[in-house]
Amino acid sequence: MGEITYTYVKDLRPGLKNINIMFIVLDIAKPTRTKDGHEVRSCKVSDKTGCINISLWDELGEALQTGDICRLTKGYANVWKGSLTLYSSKFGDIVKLGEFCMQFSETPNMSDPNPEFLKMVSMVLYL
Amino acid sequence: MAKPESGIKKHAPSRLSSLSVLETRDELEEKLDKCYKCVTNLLNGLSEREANDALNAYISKGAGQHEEVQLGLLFSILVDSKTAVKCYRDMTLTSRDGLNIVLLKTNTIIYEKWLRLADSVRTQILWLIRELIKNNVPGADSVCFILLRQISGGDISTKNVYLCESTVDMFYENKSWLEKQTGLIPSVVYTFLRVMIDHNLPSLATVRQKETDLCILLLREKFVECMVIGRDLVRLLQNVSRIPEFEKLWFDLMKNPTAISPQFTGLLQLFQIRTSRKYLVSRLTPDMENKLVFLITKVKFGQQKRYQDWFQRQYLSTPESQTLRCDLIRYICAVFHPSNELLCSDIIPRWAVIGWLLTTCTSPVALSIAKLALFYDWYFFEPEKDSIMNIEPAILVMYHSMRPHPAITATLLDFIARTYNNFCPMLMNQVKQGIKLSLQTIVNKRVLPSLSPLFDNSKLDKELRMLLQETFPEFCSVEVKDEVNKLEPIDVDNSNGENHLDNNSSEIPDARFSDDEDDIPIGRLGNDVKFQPIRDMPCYQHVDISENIQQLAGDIKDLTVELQSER
Repeated sequence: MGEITYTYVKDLRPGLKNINIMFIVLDIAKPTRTKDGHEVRSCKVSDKTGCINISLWDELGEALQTGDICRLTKGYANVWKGSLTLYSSKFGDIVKLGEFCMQFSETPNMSDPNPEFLKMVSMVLYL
Repeated sequence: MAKPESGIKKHAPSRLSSLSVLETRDELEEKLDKCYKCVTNLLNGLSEREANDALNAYISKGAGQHEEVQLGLLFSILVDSKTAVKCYRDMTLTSRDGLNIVLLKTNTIIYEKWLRLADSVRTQILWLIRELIKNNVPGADSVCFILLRQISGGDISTKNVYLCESTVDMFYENKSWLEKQTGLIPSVVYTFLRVMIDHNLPSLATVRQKETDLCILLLREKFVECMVIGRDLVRLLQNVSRIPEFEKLWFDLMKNPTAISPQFTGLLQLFQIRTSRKYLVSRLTPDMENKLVFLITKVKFGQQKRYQDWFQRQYLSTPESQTLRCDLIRYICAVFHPSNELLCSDIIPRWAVIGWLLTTCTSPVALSIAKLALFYDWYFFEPEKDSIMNIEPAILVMYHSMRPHPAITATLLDFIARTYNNFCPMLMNQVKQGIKLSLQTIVNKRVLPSLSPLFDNSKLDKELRMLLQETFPEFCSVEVKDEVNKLEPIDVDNSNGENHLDNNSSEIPDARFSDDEDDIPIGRLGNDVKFQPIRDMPCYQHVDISENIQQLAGDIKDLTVELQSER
């Protein structure tokens, strides 16, 4: 399997794939329902370098609690409604490793609007 | 929007724990499961005699195989109660290390995984411990000690009460074994004396009676063993003193100590023993301890809000959980003593955590025992034997709260001034000396350069300042003496050398506490600290307590009603 390399939140960029990352969950927003009946939750997650929103579907978001420490493997990042957002993929996995005992920083918030990220997205789209 | 892509892999189901979709089996279970499969393969289709031969033949190949068989049988006991009797027998018969591997692994499972263990596995662990006790296996006491730590204070959930009751039953049924476990006895007593106060609902009367019987039995017959706990034994006994069996014990403790044990000379003897950390630690579950220690060693001052909220959500959110605050406070004061390096860092100081624990307490009764817990090492403080670090948090939480939250400071000052006279009338002089030695040591060691900013502060109301002036004249400055009605201090103790105290008023950092400054946090106190003042201040207000009286029971209720009607 080889050793997994982890990305820090501060290094996330639009279009980045195969992201392995560890984070602690800070906030979980109320779920929104998609047309086909799925529940989507936007969660603010953080490591010691910053924070970002992750979008979680159905039972994954439901099982999550603030203070949970998780490992996401093979996730990807993209811009959604102007905010850089982290996603889990069908190739990867998200696993709860613990609770509480992880340091975090709420700044910078990588999901804050960032014109540079928007530019990167348009480039990705035209590739 | 992105397509829904689940991201859940099918994880192998756990037989030990109930896991959410986010959790996987850990290495420990993977290993146990592998051993279990190996044993199952080995024994598949064999008769009992053949099975025994097969196990022995396999074990003789080496230590690794021995461990594999032992752990495989252990796992079988835990996950399949039908096999338990047979597997326990095989385990004992094939063990070549006095069950050492099994005991160690059982301890790890209880210590690290108890919270998540499936109910059926918990039941099997209790069954296994009973077998270990019944068979007098050396090391069974250490498993019991670790199990006791999983009994959670302030938690009357079915699971926790079930654990209390099963454990009490187990000890009671194995009295003669327990009485030989001198190291375990004080832990048993300390645990059940503590959780007994949580079991005050009528529905929990049976559990409480069992706990009472066990504690009384051990205290009456093994008091010398229990004395190693130290002064916190008295603290817990105070909380249960209204239970008839303990009322009788209290009578003997005070009036007839030798009836309890010829080596027991009286309460003072107990009060003078600094509580061993072992017992204070034991009242936090490993998970609570991990989280609390993370908070006070890793979280920067100003960034504690979310951690405190998480801790509160898990452990302090119900009415019955309020009693846990005193265990946490005792742990912070008497167990966790930060290094100088940590003291100089930007990590949240102990007093701020205590401030949080006091200000978020929702029950006046629990708040009162929490305050007592905070000051408990003051009353019989001896500079040579006790540590300044035990008394430091109380003085600092009073000092640092003065400006942002004077109500906290006031309620604590009021408490220490009142307990100065009332904590233990029998030992009044010793208590007075203990408190004064505490204050003197605080000044001598320059925890605070002077107590005047605390005792003479105009933020405190006049009555409280007069009370402080009366109680601690030598720690108040001259100016304020003139300001308030001067009362002759009662000379309570001539022998403790208080008169040698220097007047430190010249060192008062008065700029910090002068009246014209705005009400802003002082010194290291960050803006993020959200102290909420306690609503019920200890000033004399008429309050209708009729409703609260209904929550009392027995003599105390009758006496309170009587008192109330006197007014």
